[in-house]
Amino acid sequence: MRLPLPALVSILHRMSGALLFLLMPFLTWAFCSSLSSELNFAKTIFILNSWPAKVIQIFFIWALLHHLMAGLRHLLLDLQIGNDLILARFSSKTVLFVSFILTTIVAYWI
Amino acid sequence: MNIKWFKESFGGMTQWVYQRFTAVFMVIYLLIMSALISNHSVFKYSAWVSIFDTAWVRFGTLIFFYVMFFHAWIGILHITEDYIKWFAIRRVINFCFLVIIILQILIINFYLIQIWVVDA
Repeated sequence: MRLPLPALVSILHRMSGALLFLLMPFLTWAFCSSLSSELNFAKTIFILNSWPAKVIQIFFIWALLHHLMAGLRHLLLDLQIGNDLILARFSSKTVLFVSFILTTIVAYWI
Repeated sequence: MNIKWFKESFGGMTQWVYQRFTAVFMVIYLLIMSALISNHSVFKYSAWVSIFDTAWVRFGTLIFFYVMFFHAWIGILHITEDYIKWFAIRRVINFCFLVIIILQILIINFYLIQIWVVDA
């Protein structure tokens, strides 16, 4: 069975959404803890700089970017933009490519 | 109200509209915040805190978290509805996810009100 590209983007949209949901507590914790005091800020930065946290961050960034890009594509489709097959395939490729490239850039920067 | 939510009976069209509006709000918030953050060196506590000094950033951030939790909750309802066919089990799982979200709302409220209202 061959999965069409738009279907792949769609399922990844769902999976990245689920991943973001699972990682949401980390965001909540990091945000609250980093703002609560100077000491907690230093602790948060220290924990976020450890390598397991960095791996989580890379997955989080990919999920966020893919979800964002695929979501924007979805909004365009809602507006009847890009409904035909060629454009739909092109936009799916763009979503996959852009989210991957941006993740690589951010991962390098982390 | 609660019973209605558990039956997942607030309409598909309403969910569709909520999901789009929350998404657009979050995109705008993230764009504005990344512009604000890129102007500071956020690896210093004072700089990081000062981003949230203005009232509208605090307000927007609180709204962002509420909107994010709401968006996530609708997303979860959609996913469980598609993959968990047995209604009773789906309700239990949805309830667990709802508890996770409510806990985070409580944490956000507790911390941000403590930091932003009590300290100020």
